[in-house]
Amino acid sequence: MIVAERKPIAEILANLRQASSVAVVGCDTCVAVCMAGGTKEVAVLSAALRLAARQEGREQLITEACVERQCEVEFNEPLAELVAEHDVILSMACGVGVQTLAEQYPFAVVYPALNTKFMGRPEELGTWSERCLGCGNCVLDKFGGVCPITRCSKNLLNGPCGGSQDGICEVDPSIPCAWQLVYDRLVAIGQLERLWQVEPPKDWTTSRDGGPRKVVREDIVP
Amino acid sequence: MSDARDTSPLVLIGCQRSAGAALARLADEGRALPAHVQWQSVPCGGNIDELMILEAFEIGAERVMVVSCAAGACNSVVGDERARRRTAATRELLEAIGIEGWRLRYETMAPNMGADLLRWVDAFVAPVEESVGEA
Amino acid sequence: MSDPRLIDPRVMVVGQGEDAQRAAALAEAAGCAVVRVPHTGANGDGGASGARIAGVDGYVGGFSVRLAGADEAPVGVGAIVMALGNRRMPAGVDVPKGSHVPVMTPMAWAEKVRRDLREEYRVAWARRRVVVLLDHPSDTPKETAAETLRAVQDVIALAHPGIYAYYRNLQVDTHQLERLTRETREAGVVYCRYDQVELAFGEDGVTVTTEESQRLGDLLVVPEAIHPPVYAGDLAARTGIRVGGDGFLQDVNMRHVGAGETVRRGIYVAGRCHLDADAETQAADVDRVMAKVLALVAGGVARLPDEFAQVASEECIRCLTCIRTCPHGAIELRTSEEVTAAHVVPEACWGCGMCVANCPVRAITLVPAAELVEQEAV
Repeated sequence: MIVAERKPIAEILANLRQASSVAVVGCDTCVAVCMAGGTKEVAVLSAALRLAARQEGREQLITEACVERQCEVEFNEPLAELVAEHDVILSMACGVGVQTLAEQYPFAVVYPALNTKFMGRPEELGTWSERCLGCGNCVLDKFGGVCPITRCSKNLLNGPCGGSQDGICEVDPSIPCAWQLVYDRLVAIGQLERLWQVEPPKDWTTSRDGGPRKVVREDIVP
Repeated sequence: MSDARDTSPLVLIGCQRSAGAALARLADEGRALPAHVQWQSVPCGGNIDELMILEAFEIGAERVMVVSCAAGACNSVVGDERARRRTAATRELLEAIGIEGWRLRYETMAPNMGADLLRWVDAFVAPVEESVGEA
Repeated sequence: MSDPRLIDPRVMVVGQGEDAQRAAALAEAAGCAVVRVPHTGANGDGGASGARIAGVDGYVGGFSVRLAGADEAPVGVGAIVMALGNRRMPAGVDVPKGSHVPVMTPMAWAEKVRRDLREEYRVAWARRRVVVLLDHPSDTPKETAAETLRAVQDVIALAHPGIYAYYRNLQVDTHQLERLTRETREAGVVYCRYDQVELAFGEDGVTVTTEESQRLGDLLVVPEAIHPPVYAGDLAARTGIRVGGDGFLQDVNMRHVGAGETVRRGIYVAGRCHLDADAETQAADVDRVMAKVLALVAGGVARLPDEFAQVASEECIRCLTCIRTCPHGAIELRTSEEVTAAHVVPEACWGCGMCVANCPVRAITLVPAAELVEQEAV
């Protein structure tokens, strides 16, 4: 899922001070699950914004709202009145949701409240870590289900590097060496010989480096 | 330094087994929280969240004290730790919006510490500024 | 699945040893069917089939216990009592090989004196000089010191050896200890404090040297060290209960020693596996905990807490936060009329509200028990 984190309050406030009214709009899908932008976080941030306005002697109307999934125009339609009535829309969705609102309501001023970080999974309650960076050409079959593009700090395809020590990456002791993980998994599933295959340099055109991407299902488009 | 007590609004958020039970015992002795303190009961420290604390400030509290059972005494084992961490996170949030961190306090107690609770409430004042080279 | 509100009248007693025996006997005497699980061989090192717990599903009143061994059918019980006992081992004293000085634990010593009831032995005992180390080698729990002193009293009642009780850090700050030290002192026990003690084993006996004195004893009594049951950690992990920092099974609210309830409603701890004290206190603990268990089972229907959490299933986004948050294991994913959502099992809920605080979409509220009854009546 998409994992995001609330921006520092000072940064959020910097964009809001001139507004006499702010609609804080959350999203109850990915960002709710990673506890950054769901109904509850909207309530918390809104309370903080109201207190900030009071502290700074500003009159500011803060309205709370939350939609099921902010990247879908249908779910954002009921926001039309809210958008019209507020100077600024503060979106607590991921970058996709923020942009959807901006596209859908082109005359609205839409600001992000979150920093969208990565696609990842929860390791335990309250901790999420990166697993996929969307390179567009999945090679998980070759590496026992462990992605060296994402999990190796150096994106190595023929790792490990000399910095792998006791299964830990030299970049940070909290990062497991992805190549150790690849190795262990291939051993576990009896496919270690795959590592004999030398991987050529990655073609990054399937990733963001080739420009913004699009997926079309020709059989589904009307 | 003023000797006057701070009687600005104070919201006391406490779990029913610690502060709640203590207040009940105090009531039996005919003692109560001062008038400027509003008491808010929660079933467990773990039930306390940032919103509760922020709303207390929104309704006019100038100080908020969060109280739970002490470590090891929570019936749900981890409630006190959650309360402590939630309070710390909220304090950061408050400071980022210009409300001084000292205005939010966290304490732990047992039900037989009612007298301590009253004392803490009375002692909950702004930290004394260090005066340098004052005549 | 049977209605979880009705209590399965069977009780599972886990452990072997006197606590488990006592618990099982009490349950049987009250007319409950008892399922005994010794819980041995936890590390896969054998153990008879049905001997250990692999996991516990379900909730209070309707647990389904999976026993080790794939062909074992799960066992249904209403309540589970952990009575694993603990391990008592003689504390470390290095006795050189070939030394004839007997070193005994207090219980063994008292037992021996009891057995040696004939007149000539009584006289022989009177001539002995017994050195008792009350808190060696490191700080001994008060309960152990109390137990040692009770053994001293037992011996004094039967014979009159010279008894020298050495202690370093023992604080006499409970009624029990004050009474025991006073009574034994009045009966002639000599108390000696030390900072450092040296034990030298020789032909004539053991020479005990401290800063203040040197004495020769011909019998050394050393208390046992108490260790948690070997499989406490494994059992706790498999059943959703907790182990404290000291390795013993943990009650909720550790300050409330002897409460006997664990974080998971319907699972109890009794006896030596959660507290250590003398035999009387431990038996009383088992009795007290079993009284709670039997009250639960006899009730027929699981009692609802006054207030419990309830998930608005149409709001639930199935993020699993509440399930992971709940310290009592009271929440599960449930599909009802094709809607899958988190569901709080009311009888297992403690009403702490941690799930309420953590739910990212605020789908959980605390409701009074009366409301659930109303909802179901509709």
